[in-house]
Amino acid sequence: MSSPLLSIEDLNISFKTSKGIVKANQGISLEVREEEILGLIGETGCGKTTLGKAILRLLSGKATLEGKIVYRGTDLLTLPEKEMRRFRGKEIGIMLQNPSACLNPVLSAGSQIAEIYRYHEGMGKKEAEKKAGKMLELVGISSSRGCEYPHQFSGGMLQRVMVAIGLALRPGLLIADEPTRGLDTDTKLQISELIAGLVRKENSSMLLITHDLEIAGRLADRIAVMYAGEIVEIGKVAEILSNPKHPYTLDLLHSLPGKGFRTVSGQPPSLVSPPSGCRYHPRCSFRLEACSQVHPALMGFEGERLTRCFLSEKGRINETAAQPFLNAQSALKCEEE
Amino acid sequence: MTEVIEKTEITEKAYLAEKRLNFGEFGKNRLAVSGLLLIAFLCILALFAPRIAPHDPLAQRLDSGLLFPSTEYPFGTDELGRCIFSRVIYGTRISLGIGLLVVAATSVAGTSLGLLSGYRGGLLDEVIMRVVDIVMAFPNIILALVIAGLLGPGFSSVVLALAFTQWPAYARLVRGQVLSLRKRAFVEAARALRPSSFYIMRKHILPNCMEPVIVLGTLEIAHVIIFASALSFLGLGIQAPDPEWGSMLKAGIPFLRTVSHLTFFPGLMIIFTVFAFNFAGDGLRDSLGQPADQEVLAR
Amino acid sequence: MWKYIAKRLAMISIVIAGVTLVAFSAMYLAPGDPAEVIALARYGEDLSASQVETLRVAEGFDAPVHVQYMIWLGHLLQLDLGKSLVTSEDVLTEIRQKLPATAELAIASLLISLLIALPAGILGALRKNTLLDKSCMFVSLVGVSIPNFWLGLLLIWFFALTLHMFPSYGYGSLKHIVLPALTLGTSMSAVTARLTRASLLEVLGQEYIVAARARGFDERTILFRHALKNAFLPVVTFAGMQFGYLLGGAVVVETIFSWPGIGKLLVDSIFAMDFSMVQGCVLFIAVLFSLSSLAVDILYAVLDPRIRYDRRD
Repeated sequence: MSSPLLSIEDLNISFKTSKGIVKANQGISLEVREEEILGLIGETGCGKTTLGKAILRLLSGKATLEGKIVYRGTDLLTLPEKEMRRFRGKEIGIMLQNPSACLNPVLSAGSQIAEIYRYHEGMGKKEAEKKAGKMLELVGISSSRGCEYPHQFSGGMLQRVMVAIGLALRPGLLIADEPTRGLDTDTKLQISELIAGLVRKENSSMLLITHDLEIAGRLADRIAVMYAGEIVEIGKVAEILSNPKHPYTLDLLHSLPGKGFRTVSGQPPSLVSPPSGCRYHPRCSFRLEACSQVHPALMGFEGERLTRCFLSEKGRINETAAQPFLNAQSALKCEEE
Repeated sequence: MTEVIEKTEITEKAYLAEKRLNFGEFGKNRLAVSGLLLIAFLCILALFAPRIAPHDPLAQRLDSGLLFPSTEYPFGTDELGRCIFSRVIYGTRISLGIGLLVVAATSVAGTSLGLLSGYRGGLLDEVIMRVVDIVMAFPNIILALVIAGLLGPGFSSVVLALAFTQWPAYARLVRGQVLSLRKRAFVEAARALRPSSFYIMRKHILPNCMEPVIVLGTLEIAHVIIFASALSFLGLGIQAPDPEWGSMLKAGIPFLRTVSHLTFFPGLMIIFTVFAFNFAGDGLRDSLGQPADQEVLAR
Repeated sequence: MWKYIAKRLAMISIVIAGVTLVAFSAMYLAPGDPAEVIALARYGEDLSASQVETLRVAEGFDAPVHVQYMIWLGHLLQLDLGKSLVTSEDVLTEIRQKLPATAELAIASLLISLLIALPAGILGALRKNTLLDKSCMFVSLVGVSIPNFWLGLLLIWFFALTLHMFPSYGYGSLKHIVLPALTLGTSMSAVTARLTRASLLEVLGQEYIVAARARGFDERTILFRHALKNAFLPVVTFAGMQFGYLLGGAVVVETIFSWPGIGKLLVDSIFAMDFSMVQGCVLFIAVLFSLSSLAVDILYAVLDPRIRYDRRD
């Protein structure tokens, strides 16, 4: 087993807002290993983007972070801001959501890549531009388009520019937040193959944040499923896809076009006052009596499987055999373990 | 059919609610509230000027000219022995009068033209907007100066001059609002149901334009008061013996070195008044969540 | 971009055509017969009817109004603004003589206002909601409310009459320009500071600033390379509108400080009922203002690639 490149330990993130305290991430523990692609999936608003930004400490001052984010032995949360800057871009690259908003409209695409080399590697203008051109070629854009401005690129092309920026300094870890959102199917596949290919070629790792289970299944080695600010399931891609242990994962799988196209019913819960017990119980079709009262812990199974559900203890769940024989007491026992 | 109407109304209500003046927010904005209180204070001064002022603002007493402030004359007297305190108080009538009159006239005229222009579009829009451009091609104080100067000094010239220069701001603002509202679904739906454009304008578009117009109007009162006193200061507006702050300032210049209170108090009164309206306007704008408008700021 | 500039140019020619009409008809605002008004101004109270008639024919007031306008416009196209009705000086020559003084005042005021406003606005945005920011914004709100003529008098009273540091009026040396430029400059800076702050705050909230931070840049690089250029875009547009304020403010400030510029010329001509001079000044100012907005629009296009590289189809 390869050693973790990044490990997040018991991370809590909350925001103070006028409506109350938003608990965006609660008790997140994750690791991204060397040369691994970890898919982080979940619906919009479940806190996955917050987690991605938190790793590089890009959240606004209103956010409170507790826990540990350890990258190659350094706890990023305790670093002074100046030290933190060395990690951004150089050690950990990030592609934030929505490339058209993330690129400065008044600077050309090429210069936005070149400035990274000039700043971090002290290159001269010419050299940096040349290197930026190479980087553009690498992501499939002709280097002659480097002098063009963001608004002159199409959505897919912008995403390629973002890839070039994210990987410009050959970071050990790339965090890609929804790199395929808003793209058509063909472009989606191209972009995702491109990112994964480059990451693998560099022997880097990637945290792929997406709501798209299909893309995650195609690219990732392992998948972590997030729901309402919590990790509800982690496991190898094949296991998660073939044998989902958490009802939410199962529902997500069913929502795929090839697998029934059934959307997950109900609304995502509020992160200010999340449901009691299991966060998913109001929408869960296997709900037990205990689920609304007791908050299940993340439980380990064979291999590296972790699931946050009482049912999973009894093996594979399926729609026909949701047997409510688990009562509150045995659930409590699980909690204590 | 009724279902469609209901839906239209619901979306419109939701839209209005989302935009509705946030009084809680406004209440929290202490400076804005103090602006409103200052305005109330000024209105009282203007309404009850005869009761508050200790002297007749026009009464000259040549034996007591250029007196320094005292209990009898709180702000002193001018070269003709007139009580500056009383004149300053009566001045609120003139300045507020001009401000309110001009803003009332221009906001109505400008809003109507803007509505027409934005809703009808086409040639009418083109013509109105070019006229707006032409009027705005002159720095407005200069246009006002020329108009008021050539019409001859006096209250009505000042009002006319300022009304002529200030209406385009409303027309542009409202036209912009209308264009963005027109795209919204509820106006489209209302159009489909009831094609009378007057009805749609009155019922659906006008109410949605009112808030920015109110904000602009409040800030415009401040501008108009400054402009009016600038005209009077230059000798092209209200003239002595009428107690206008700008013309009082002008009259005080020869005595600037020795008896500076002649210029000090009227000036302070202008600042105080303008400040009140600027504060209230800013507060209103913040409560409405509107971005700072460059064109409003520009004057 | 050329298409954009051409469009703006076409628009401005229409506006300037309208401006000439307004400038011309301004004369008819004056109550009474223009010939009589001018004769009164020129010869004093004891004028005879024949003097008025001579003047009417000499200055072309006997023709119908639209013919007068056409004739005037014809001269205008040859850059002939006519002669002063009072002093018989050539209007354009007169304006040209006064132009340097106004230009000096305008440039000095603009410099002063930017020197105050940009640092104040940037600092306010960077230190948002601190005491420093709040006091800056309070001062600027007070600044917006102070009429420039009062500020001018205050400066005269303090620096000229009390401290004797600068002359209170006149033109010539560097010392003369200090007070007028300070008056205009500070009164303009209040608004610019507020706009700079608001605009920078908006830019700093944009996602591309977070993205720049994610690339490991320090805050200074982000501010100077990523934020300011975007934040200055509205400030540049605003500068165009401020040019109008500058010209308008110049009228008042030039009058207070007896600064021999176009503004003072305009006010003096209004008092003298010198219609052709008033027309000339107003027209000149409006054209200058329009051209400056055009210049600003072009500058904006140069600064903002979204306009510069507009699709050319």
